[in-house]
Amino acid sequence: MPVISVEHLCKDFKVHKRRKGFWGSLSSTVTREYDIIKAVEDVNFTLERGELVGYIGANGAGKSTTIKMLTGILVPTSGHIDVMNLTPYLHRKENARRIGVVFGQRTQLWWDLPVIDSFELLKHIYEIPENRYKHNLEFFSELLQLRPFLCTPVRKLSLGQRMRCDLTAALLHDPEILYLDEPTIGLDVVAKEQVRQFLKQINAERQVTVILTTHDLNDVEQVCGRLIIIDKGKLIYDGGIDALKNQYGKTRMLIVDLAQPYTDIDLEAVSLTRREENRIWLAFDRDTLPASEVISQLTSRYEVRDLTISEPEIEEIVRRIYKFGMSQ
Amino acid sequence: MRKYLAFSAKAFQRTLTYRFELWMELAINVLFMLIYVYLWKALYTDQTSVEGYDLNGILTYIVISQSLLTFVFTLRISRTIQAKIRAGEVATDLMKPIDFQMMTLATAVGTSLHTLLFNMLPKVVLFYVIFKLSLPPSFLTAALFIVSAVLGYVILFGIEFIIGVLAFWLIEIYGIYALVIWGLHMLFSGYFLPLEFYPAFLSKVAEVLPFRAIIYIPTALYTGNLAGSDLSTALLVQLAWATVLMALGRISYRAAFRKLVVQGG
Ligand SMILES: Nc1ncnc2c1ncn2[C@@H]1O[C@H](COP(=O)(O)OP(=O)(O)OP(=O)(O)O)[C@@H](O)[C@H]1O
Ligand SMILES: [Mg+2]
Repeated sequence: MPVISVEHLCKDFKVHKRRKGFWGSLSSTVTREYDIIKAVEDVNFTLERGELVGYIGANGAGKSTTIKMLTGILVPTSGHIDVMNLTPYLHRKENARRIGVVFGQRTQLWWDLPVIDSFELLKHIYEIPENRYKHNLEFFSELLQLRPFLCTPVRKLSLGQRMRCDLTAALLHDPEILYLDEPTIGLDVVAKEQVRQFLKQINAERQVTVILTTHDLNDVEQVCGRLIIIDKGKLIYDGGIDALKNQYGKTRMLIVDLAQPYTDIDLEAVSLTRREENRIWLAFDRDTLPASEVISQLTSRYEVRDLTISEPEIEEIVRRIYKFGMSQ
Repeated sequence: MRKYLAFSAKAFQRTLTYRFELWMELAINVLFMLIYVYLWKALYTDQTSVEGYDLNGILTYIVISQSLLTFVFTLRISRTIQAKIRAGEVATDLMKPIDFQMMTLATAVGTSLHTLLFNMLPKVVLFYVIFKLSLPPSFLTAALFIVSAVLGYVILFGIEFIIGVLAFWLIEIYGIYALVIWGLHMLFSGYFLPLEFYPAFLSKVAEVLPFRAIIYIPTALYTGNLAGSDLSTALLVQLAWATVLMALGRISYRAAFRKLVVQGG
């Protein structure tokens, strides 16, 4: 029995078309033309309890829109969402009781209140039993080292501190699902690492199902077992990270520093993907072409100063998927 | 219920931090009330009673109505709702297991409780001491006044909530707010004149609008000018308006939610 199941999910936004100039704006107030943006288009997936899934895609791909529909604050244009046997937008309150949400770009804490007051208010909102509240507060304060700033007003916290508080706020009521929309945005390396470890731990210890959107693929690589990629509203990949690497990571990259800026780089079965002055990036298929062959071809025709081979990284794979789609 | 009380408590606590504004507001209110009081004293030099109000009655009316008016100034929920919609903060509210209207009401009550304690009561006491105003005719009237004032408050809230929810559709609601609150409300709530003093056609208009239920009904009840069967009708009218406006607010908020587009993120 999946915790979340999404079928043929679509969300269109109507955007008022505005024409340029005075007469344009006048006529557009009269005629009201719309552009339709298909933010999410026929997306299907299911999640089992305890899964930790990375939901990624380029800017504007439809990640936040999907999360908003799952949390019940946005009504789908068509399609079906089932979250713990509830339809989120119809059973908004019941659904809200059982989920936790963190939007990295905004806080759910009360800006001018001390952190602990926000937590107290959440205790009442979610009707958390006193002992459960105490236990959880203790647990998260310890794990995320919140104690030094529990009495500080939220507006005075650093981004990393605020994020830790927001994570706590989303988990105090023991939600079964945790939605995270860019929880590591703007954090430094250490803080990101702390958030990742934390997510892994609560997922393992509390069986919380986690959906995570991010632009930092290290998050995905270190935390998520499964990856869903959407592009322009459409789901284009759903599966394991290793499978993705095997399937799409056949391309190796040779990075070469040339002695001079040759303009006639032309090697068999090798494509020039990038160039910066004397440095070039050459892509080739590792199954059909051994690196040694590429190097010997290269050095026989051009004067080479230095070279390195890079294995496909998830970052690179995804970059190419965003750019060229899945077919390549 | 407990969770909404927590919202009230937080709103109350938050308002406590704006001390300076509070004193400014109080000082300006008191000045206005003094002006009205002396104006009526001057107007009543040759009269003993107009439309059932003697001097003492009219001064009491002014002090009570002006005090109730303070809620209108401090409530500000339509603007709060609009700001929340603009900042995308409604999303955060909607992701919680709470009723948006009740939460807004609870927050408003917290703010208004502060207004009541630190603004209205001091004003009323001050004017009672200086001008020896009259008390309600009976204990029952006093009790009914409280009921009526609460209903008036709910009506005011209901109207402001609906205006605020309009911000889901409209980019700017100030025009409507100004028309309804500064225009219609100021004209027909009876905040500076008992409605009996109005020309017949204007008081006819006032009869069919909800605004008189906000200030006029509780105040006239307090001074004893609204009594007997008129009083019970007035209370029923208030109850009806409160119910209708709260229901309308709920319906429009539901409709807004259906087409809700949360900005940003
Ligand atoms: N309220 C809205 N009105 C109109 N269009 C919208 C609205 N919200 C989102 N969109 C559009 O829907 C598409 C998907 O947006 P969404 O915010 O879901 O992207 P995202 O994947 O979260 O991107 P990002 O990584 O930049 O956060 C975009 O083209 C966006 O412009
Ligand atoms: Mg987003």
